[in-house]
Amino acid sequence: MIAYAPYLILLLPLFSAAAIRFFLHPFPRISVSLSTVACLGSFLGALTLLILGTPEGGMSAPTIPWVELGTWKAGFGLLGDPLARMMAVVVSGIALLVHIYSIGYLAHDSSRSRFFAELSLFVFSMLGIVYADNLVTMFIFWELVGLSSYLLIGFWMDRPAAGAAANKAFLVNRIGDFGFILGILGTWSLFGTFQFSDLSSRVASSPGGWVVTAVGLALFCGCLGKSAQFPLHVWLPDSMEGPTPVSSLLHAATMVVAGVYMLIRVLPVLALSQVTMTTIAWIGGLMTLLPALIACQQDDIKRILAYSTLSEIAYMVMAVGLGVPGAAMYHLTTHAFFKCLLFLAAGSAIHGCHDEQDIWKMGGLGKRMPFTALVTILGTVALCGIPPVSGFWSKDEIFTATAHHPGLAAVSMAAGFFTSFFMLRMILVAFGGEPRSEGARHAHEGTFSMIAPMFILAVFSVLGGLLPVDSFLGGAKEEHHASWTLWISLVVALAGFVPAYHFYRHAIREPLSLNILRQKFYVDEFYQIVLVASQDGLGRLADAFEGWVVRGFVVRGSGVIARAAGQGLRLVQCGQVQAYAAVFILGVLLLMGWILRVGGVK
Amino acid sequence: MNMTWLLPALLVIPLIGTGLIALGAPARKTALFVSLLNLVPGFLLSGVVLRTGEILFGLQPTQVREVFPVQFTLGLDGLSLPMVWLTLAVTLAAMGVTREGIKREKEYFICLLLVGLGGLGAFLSVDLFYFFSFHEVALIPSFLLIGIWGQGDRTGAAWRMTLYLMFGSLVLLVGLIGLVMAVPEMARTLDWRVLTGYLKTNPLAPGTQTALAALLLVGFGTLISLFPFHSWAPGGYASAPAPAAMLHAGVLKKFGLYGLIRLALPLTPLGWKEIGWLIGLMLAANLLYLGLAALQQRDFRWLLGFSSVMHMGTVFLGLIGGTLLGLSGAVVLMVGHGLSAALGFAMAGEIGQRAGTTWMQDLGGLGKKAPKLWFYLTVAAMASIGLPGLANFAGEILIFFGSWSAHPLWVAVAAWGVVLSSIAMLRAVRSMAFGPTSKTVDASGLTDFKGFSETWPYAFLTFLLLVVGIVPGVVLGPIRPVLERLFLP
Repeated sequence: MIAYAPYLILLLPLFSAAAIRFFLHPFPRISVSLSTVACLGSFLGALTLLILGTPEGGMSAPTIPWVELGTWKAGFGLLGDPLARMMAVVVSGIALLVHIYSIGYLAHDSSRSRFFAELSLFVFSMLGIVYADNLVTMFIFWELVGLSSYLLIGFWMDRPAAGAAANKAFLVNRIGDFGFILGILGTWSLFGTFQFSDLSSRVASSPGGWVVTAVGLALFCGCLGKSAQFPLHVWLPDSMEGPTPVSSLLHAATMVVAGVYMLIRVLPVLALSQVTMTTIAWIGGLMTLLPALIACQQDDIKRILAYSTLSEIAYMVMAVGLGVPGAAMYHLTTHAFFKCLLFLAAGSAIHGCHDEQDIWKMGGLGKRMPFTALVTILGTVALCGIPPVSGFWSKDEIFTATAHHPGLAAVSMAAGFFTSFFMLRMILVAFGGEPRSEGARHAHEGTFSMIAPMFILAVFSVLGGLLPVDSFLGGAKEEHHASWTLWISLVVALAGFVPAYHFYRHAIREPLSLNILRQKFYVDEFYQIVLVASQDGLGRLADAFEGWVVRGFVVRGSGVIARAAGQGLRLVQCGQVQAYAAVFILGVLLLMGWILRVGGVK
Repeated sequence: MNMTWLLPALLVIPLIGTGLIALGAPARKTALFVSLLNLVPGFLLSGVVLRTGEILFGLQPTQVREVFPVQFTLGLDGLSLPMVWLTLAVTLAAMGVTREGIKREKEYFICLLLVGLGGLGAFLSVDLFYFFSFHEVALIPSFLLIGIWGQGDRTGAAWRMTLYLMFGSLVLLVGLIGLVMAVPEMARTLDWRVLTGYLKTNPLAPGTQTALAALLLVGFGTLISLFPFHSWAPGGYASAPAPAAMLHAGVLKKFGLYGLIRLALPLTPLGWKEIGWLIGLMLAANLLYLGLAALQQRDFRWLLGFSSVMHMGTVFLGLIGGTLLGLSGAVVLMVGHGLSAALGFAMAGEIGQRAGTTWMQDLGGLGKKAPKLWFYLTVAAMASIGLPGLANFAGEILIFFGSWSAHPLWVAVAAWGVVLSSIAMLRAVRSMAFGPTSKTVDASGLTDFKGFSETWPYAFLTFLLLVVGIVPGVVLGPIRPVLERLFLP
């Protein structure tokens, strides 16, 4: 029995979610405590596994079978490799901080029981992805994470925009999962397994050719959806309709990087095809730049951060494509800290200004919310990769990997420039100057439960570079050599601050107007026209055909004949149906008689 | 102890119920009671089947009788067990969701009980004669339920359904007769157990198999609402009162699939290989054409009708995959679809009753106003779009794996079908549950579920969806030996 103990890490939040949903719903205080304690339990458990495990593998629990049919087996087994153990600690640790933050943030919301139940469901499913030891189990939790994301984005159900955003998130992810599941099926038929531990040995017998490329790209589709990469990135900015703690935990720090985590897990398959790897690297490379450009013209503080998240995840995707998963994982970890911090700080500002998200209606928050301003600046420094803060170390490893790919180096460094630009813009406009709205004039810091998590995250964001992340990632850490990319990237990033300072130091309204960026390159509009209209158009066609031709013409035509016969019998309207049944029975009985005669008589 | 009498008890108990109601016993209470009571033999029989694999009641057909070959033999094995449970569960829930005060209450509940009884009888029958006629027994009261207690264009819907199903039954009957007649005279029998055993060692000629497979496909396919024999279904379900739609979409439709797995596929395997490409096209049409049509529905009942029909395509995919994995997945999906369709139609009925409409654009804000309604609505939607943890997903993923090597293209189509049904269902949930409360909802004075007596049928179906989703072994375990016996050489 004791061997199953690691499953408690998963079961505690699941138990919390179920208990709150079915029993504790009317008692918000108990629900909040239960959910937070369950998350604490998961965190401690994950930490124990991290410490007890060895680099070779260490702790793992016996597999719990789900389906076993002949040779096809899918079960729940905990993967005990360093990557999983590290990731689980990051996920549950940040989730714990967000739980604590949410206690203050949602103190006055009457539905907070539901919020915490859904948060627990998320922790359960996310840890499931992390610990999953095969693709099918991962896909199961992958979908459950999609569900919790849907529920949490749509938490404020009376807001129409929340419903729209929740649907968009779920559906875009489903499109990605369409590819993912085909990729899983393809992997299984090529290599006869979907266990991660078997993949690396089985790929040696790969047939090669376009099939392998196709399977790799199909798997990558899953990442495109979950990690919101082009062309499936459109849901993430909209997901900001959810409460800010949700944006921070799901849509910045943990859930959206699940795609990267998955890529690292299936890397043996992806690496079989150079085409696949190059595609991944270039989609990642371009996605570092495009959202960074869009973010320069956004006014909603959470959307600015959301676009920055898209760009940062793209760095990780690019790193995977370049074959340096260690660097991707490193950046994933540091990004989790500083991006979660930035979102919590943004939440603090929004909360302080009484639900104002437009940076142009903030202003002067630096004086009124000095702590929030300070952690925002720390987070920004980390995000922009300025030494010696965490983001610098992790970005440096990725830039080093681009040294032999000048094209990728160029776009990703340009992205660094714009990242610095829009982050300083955000800080100057929101925190500098004078208050530009009533809410901003009365801004104040939040409660202790909101401050404390930000403080802890700030510490990790600054010192994160010292964390021995690499030693947990199995691979030997590459020697830190100061390559040319390092210096250029640093100079470019610092350069980004200059124009931002110039334009926004005293700005009270947007001095630049770049409509194409404001409209996010019109991608949403494009989808509206092409994809939605095509499915709806086809649907309308199908419905019309169904309605007129099949139901109307064919069936009604034959119906008319039958009706004429029925009217011949002069039946009253209600009795018609009964008479019908009688005729029907009669017919059946006659047929029965016939079958008996034919079948019975020799 | 001899437990065989429990088999007829499963049929006699609801029959006694109809008798009592006809004699004047309180209709709803009696119907609920007998449906609940019927779980007892259900439980006991499950124990026997899990232990011994099979239980039979009636005369053993040792040899073909001279004049009248029909025998009243009932049997229960691992394959019929999940179907029987599905029937018992959906029947109970269907009785539970009906409120007091319906017009002609007596007849209404008698009809409902008869539908459930017919379903049970069909799944329990070993003799082809009873197998066929029990299904017909179930169809007649469902016409009445639609025609008398239905809504919308109820007469038209009942007409359409009758025409289609009569046609389907006819073709099916011809197919079944053909199957029996194709066997040499000495071995001719209506007992499908004997028939299966005989045809396994003495397969029919390939040409005969193809003809029979085509007949059975059209016959059963019409009952299952396979494209292009589907047009009766969406409108029929939309017009039917909720419990009738639950029983019909949840249980009776599975009769066709059960017949395919039990008879058509194992007895005419070569024929199925021959027409596999055709079935592929038909199931793709179910998934894509009806899936797209589902997107356009404005009435939640119609949407459920289309979505319920489109998922039959996925089940068919499992049937033509040619693997035990795919067939097992098909059975799991049959159970999952039965439960989720029942939950969906029950919710549509509930919303229709409480808000006065199921027209989606007139609804809105249910989530805030009635959180329990929203919860079960979401469960129904999530189950039908294949969310892991609920039964349908377990079936779908097994079907995908089982059919991938034979039909990767159709698997891709089915996977896209999942996307289409997600779009349709989530749009529906969004327009009904999210946003501010609509005028219609406000005016209707809509209330949430109150207390155990109103919630339990929904909680019960949800519980079963979770059990099968989390432990698919409850279905996979019993069916495995039967499928192996039927399909492995």
